[in-house]
Amino acid sequence: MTNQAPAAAAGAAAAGEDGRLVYRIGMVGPSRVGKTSLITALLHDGQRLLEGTPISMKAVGTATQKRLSQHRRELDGSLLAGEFDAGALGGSQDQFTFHLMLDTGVPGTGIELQLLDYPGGWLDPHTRPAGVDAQWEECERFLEQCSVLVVPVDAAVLMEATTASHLRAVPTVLGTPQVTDVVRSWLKRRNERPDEPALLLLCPVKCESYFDDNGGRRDQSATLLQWVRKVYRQVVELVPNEAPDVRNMRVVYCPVDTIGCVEILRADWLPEPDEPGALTFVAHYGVRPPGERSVKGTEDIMIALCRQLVAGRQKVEEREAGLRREQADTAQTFAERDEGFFRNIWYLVSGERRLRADAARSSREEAIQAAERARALTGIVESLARRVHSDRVHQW
Amino acid sequence: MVTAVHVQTRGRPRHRDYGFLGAGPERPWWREYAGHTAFERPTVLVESDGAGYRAYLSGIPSARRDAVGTVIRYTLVVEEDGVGVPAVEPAAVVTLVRCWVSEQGGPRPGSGGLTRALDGAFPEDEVERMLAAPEPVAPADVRRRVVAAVRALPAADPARSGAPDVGERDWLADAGSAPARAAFVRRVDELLVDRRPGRALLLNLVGSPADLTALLDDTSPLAVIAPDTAVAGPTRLGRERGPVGAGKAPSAAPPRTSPVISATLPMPARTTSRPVSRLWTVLTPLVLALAAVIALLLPLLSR
Repeated sequence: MTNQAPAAAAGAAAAGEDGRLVYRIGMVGPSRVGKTSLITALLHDGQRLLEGTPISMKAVGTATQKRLSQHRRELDGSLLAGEFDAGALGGSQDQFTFHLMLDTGVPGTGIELQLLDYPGGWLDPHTRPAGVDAQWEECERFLEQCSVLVVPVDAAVLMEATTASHLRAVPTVLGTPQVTDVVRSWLKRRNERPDEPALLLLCPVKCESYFDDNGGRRDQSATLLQWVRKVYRQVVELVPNEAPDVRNMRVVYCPVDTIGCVEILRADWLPEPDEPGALTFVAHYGVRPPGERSVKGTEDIMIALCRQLVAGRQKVEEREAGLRREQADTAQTFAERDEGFFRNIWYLVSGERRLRADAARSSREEAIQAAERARALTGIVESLARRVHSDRVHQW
Repeated sequence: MVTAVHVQTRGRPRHRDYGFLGAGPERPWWREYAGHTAFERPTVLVESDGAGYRAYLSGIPSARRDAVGTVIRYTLVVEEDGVGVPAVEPAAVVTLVRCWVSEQGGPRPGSGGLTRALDGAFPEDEVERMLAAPEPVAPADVRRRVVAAVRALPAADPARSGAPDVGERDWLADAGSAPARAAFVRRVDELLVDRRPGRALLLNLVGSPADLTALLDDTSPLAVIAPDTAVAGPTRLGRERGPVGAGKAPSAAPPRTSPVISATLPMPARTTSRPVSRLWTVLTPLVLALAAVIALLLPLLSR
């Protein structure tokens, strides 16, 4: 159980413990936007998507398991009480790396997803507490190494801004200047790996009040899409400008109902003391009966992630299979090499020839196993690729 | 400075995020436990080297709320280098730990004593003023307020009265158990008052003894309590050493890129016994030499 990413996991994908592949997924959003809730929803609902496939999704390590269960317990308690207050869920006070595993059931073939969570306040140098600069640098390094960057967006902030003063406060509340800076750095780093697929996910969260496909009363999905396009226009426009060399870069819009059974009742824009003109956004939610959590939209994130991640895994497996094959061929050649008349007799008598043959056979078996894993994963890639995104998703 | 007392909290406005009132500790030593505990939840870290000590208590809720209604928390850090007369009595730190740990057994009447004491010593308007002040708050002011908070805490029996002695050097127990909490406070008392070396930790991301392997240290006994653990009572921690994840099977696969194939191939164990092998070593060259002579002489003899 460790909170530190394996040293070997540099780059977007790298071999971790037991030969499993480690992918880093970055999240960039302001304080209290719901990063932890999104990760919890991803694990909770991602399992549904993978039902009927050889892949399952699970939390790895006691720390991740406990973190997620603590968060779920708080959320469930809140729903049981019949009221949901986003502020009641305590925010993160320190960085933490969640370890999730896409497990194929075959040892050493899983894909570990590492998702970094950190206090959103660290994004802004003005609100970043003294003494956490080194930690923030660690976070920045992690974010730059990810091939997937998730931008959670509080949908309520966009949808409940009804006056000019509200709209003026939106960039501050959503931290869009800081988010833009992080995305820019990330894109620049992507140019260093132009062949590696990259994915930028714009994920409005707490969307249940604005869609009518999950128990909601009204459909304002078009308005939400319009607002995200408008407020994050600069972020989207950065992609071709800052990462012109990346051949396979996708920007996907995936709105998520992180809870599902809540409905916004009232939104307050409260003046900030000491900051003339600044407003703080507070949303009050009611719980829809029967108060059972009904996450929606994480399936689309999972599809987008799996298409990318498993495709990456496939490449690595193919490379590994090629290496093993090469090794097996070399071993076979070595086993059968003519060493001259006397040495051949000597190797025959001493058993060296038999040892070489055994080694070649063992190497051949490993090559076959690696090829089989690559084939199995190819099948899963094809299966996931056949799944279609919901109507909520847009790709830019 | 003999004893340093630090308090971390936040203000109501969005921009007044968590920070120490005044100068913070020189080094965030508690981060060594980041993989074992979430600092925003109840955590206690007490370390003693036999002379000085350091203590960290976090996740202590305040009655104050921030602008979006989130409960504001306190973190206390006390560090003493063991030189001279302590500015804060070690017994006072034990009291802080006892109070905070006693609230980890679930909600009960009278809980929240530490919250009330700290809120009394750090009123909202003064906290806002301290966080907004251009000049750092004087360390003596923070220390004085913490001492005042300790005095406001409900009195208790001496830490060890009735507390069971676990009888193990390194142990883990569930924080929900009252005897375990009492044993934990007893260990803290031994570390701080008796100046024994060791550690006493309340961690919240730990589930079993295996999760603590990396924290075991021959020179520093370890007592841990944690919520929702898999252990029924105080459980002795193993003596195995090594990083978490140790014990995994070593990879049998050879290095992928080694150019020397004979060095990378897994060689099956030889089954021939050693004496027989030695005999072969002696006889084989003789037999081969004889065969070679015959092979050379055979064409000549056949003419």
